[in-house]
Amino acid sequence: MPLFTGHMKIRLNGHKDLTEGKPIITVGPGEKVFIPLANMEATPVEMLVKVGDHVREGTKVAVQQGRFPVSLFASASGTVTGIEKRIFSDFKMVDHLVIATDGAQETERVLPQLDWRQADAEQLIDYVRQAGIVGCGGAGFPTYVKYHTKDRIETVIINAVECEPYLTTDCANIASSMDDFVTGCRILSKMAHDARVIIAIKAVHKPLIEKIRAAIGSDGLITIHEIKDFYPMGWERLVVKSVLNKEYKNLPSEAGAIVNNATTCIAVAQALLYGRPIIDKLLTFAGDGIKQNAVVRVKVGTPITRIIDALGGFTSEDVKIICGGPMMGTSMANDQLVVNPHMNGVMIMKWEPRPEMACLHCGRCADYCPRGLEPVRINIANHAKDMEYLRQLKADTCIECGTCSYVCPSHLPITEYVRRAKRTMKVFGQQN
Amino acid sequence: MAKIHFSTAPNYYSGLNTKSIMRDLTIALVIVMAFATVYYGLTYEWAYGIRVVALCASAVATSLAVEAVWCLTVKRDKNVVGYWSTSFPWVTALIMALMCPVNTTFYEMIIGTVFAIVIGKLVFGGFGQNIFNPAVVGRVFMVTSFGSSAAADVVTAATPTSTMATTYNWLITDTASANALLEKFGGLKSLFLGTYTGAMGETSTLLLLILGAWLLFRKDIDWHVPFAFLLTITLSAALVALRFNTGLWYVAYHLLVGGVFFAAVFMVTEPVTNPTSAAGLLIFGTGCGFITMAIRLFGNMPEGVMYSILIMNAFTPWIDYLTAGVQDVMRKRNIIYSVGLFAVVLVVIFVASGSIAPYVAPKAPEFLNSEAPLNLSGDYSKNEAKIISTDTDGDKLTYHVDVKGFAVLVSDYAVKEDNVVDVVISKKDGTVFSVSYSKFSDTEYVGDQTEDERFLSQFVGLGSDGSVDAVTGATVSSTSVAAAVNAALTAYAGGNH
Repeated sequence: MPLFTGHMKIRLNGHKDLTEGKPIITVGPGEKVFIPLANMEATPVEMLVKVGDHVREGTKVAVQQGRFPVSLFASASGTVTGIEKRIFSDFKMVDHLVIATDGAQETERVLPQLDWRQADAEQLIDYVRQAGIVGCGGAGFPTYVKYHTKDRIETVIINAVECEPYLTTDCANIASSMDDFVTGCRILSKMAHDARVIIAIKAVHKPLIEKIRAAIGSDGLITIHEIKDFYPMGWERLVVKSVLNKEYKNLPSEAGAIVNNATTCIAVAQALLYGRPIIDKLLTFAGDGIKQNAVVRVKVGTPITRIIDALGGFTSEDVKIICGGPMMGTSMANDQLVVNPHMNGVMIMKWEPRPEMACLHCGRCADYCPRGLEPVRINIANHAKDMEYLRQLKADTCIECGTCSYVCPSHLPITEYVRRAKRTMKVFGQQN
Repeated sequence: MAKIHFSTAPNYYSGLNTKSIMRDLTIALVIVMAFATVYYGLTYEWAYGIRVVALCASAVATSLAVEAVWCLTVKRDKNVVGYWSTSFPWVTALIMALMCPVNTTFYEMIIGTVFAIVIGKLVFGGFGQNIFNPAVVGRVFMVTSFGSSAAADVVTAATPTSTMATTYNWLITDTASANALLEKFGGLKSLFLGTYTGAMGETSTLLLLILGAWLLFRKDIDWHVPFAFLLTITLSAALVALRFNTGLWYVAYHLLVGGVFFAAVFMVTEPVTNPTSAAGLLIFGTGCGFITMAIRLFGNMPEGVMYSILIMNAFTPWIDYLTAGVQDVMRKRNIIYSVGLFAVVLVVIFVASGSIAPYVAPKAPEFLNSEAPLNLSGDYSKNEAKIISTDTDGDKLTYHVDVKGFAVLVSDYAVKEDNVVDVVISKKDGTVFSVSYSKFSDTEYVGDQTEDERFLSQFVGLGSDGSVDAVTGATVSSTSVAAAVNAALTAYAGGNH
């Protein structure tokens, strides 16, 4: 029990048993798929197809411009019928390319053949860029960017911690594509100039760990690091600290590490082995607001309403749809969301009014904050617009993991209060 | 078609609820009240047991009424029950009521509750906004305003705290006095179990330990402050105990009396007025423990727990500023602050305790050591014993005897006055029933030993038949008492009744 700091982590009920190890349900794309013409940033998109064009599964339809260009691909064969604004996983309305599917399931390989065993690091990184592989942990950060680093990388950490409750996507992906997963680890190692690979996974997944141990071979390149069952142990900073016992300021590469999600690792392997960009997704659909909890296999661009219907529909008249896990995922304003390449799950929770009470100043939010912040004080400082105090409290370093709202006995949306404080610091901080 | 609701992340919650925390606290407080009810009911009479409940009920009712008025007038909210259910006035009222002794008047209790709720809580904006612990505010108001109004009563006995403070100056070094003190309250065991008269809810350390453990287990209270508070009191008392070689009982006494455990469970854990970080809580608890000990050892108030909480409440914003930042980055600095404060506190207590004058037990009364026997039939002419008056009450005959004692015969006092001794003789057998002073003019250092019950009781049962040599201790003062008894017995024998 820490005496001078709070717990700085919390054990929460993961509800993983709802979907872990259960059969994967395949849901077809339906009459229309909607390819999001965006990734994590709202930057201009260069279109490669136009209305009326015939596209196939794997056709490159657009390239998102910006600091880190990302290629976007069609996920079904059919005809481009237009562009439609729909809600995206970051809550913004973005353009989606509408493809009327023809059910022919024709495929097209736009990626060249490349034997990853013969290729050098530069070639592999460029290949991953062309394949449009983005981080599948939820943020969608382009994978190739991480490998364009000047720091010396000694370790590639595969993040299979998946500390969000309900989500079992990474585990399902590893279990169903074990060979691709191990190949992916070896490719990522080559991309980082033969760095060692450490798979970080929660110790509670005993059977899966045994399977991985059997598959990784005995050459010692890949090892497994078991992580305790706390939230948010899957946070990059904590993963690096847990695996390497090192801390860093901005990027893990300062600690000689690159952290990739397990699903990203599989996507990299599948791009190189089969020339397939991220078209198929495994997603966890779970929560108390949906009849059947399951991991589903779907195409990018599939409307989630179709998946929800396939799983029996809602259980309540009042629900919340959350893109991502229940702790950090974004609540959607409507059900127009479609599957995008970096999604890992959708939570459907019953909505109930949650009356707030006055803050007790009990300090639980400070006790459990994994960053060691004091959300209660940050909120007070923000009300007073006390910039100096906000800076002293380091409000801008909050990772918005949601633990403070989770533990708050007065049911205050304290994570949201800290977000407001961060905005205050952004807006007013530059003035002085 | 289901309705899609928006809500900011996270959308997953623990089952923690302020209402259930307050419900647990209420249960714990009601258990404390029930213990007091049973104790007073069994030890004195059931009227006192019922009085415990009635006092608590009056405080709770007052607090509800005050908040209802506030809700209707200031808040302009018609949903009074809803307001109560998120404001929890009864918790403040119960804590405050249980800090009071059982002979508190209802008038005091009601005024105290109004003050606690209005000045301690509502003027700051209600629940969650107050800067001082409202229950303590109310209780301090009662103590300072009505301190001397308590009606004399069978339960108006001295408490362990007041006795320790007024008679013994919070420091006893000799075993005999320590035993005398402990015996008065049934020993450490009684202090631990709570079978003595004190503030209604503060007596039973055992019960409070159990309730505290339950509240900790339920995660209703935080352990940092009670831990630092109790540790500071324990180690401070231990240092004083070591320095003056008092023995371990001294440390236990400090912990067991004066509501230390009641405060540890229900008062210093009040989150609204406490700092929020772990290090801040440790500093707060250490401060409370230090001020409690400082007031006890060096102050002129009998007890310091309540004041320590109020004073530390005032420091809370400053402690929060001091410990603000990223906790693990600040860890080293916060350790220096909290451990440093703790060390400073102990050093201050140790150094300053050199100035405390330990209680000096009075020497054994001279009459007990005197070799010379008092002889009732001796020559007491120089005492000039005169019977001023007599009273009859049933079969008791009281002689008021004016007699010259040390003051007149020996001393060089400015005012030399006679003593007046009341000698009660039983008519049944003509023996002495009791002897007491009704006016005492002899010196503090010589004569008052004859006030001692052990001296006066020697005369009881004596008759004029000559069994007089049993009384020993011939000092000037004691001789004057013998002269008075002699005069009374002579008068009785002479038929003056």
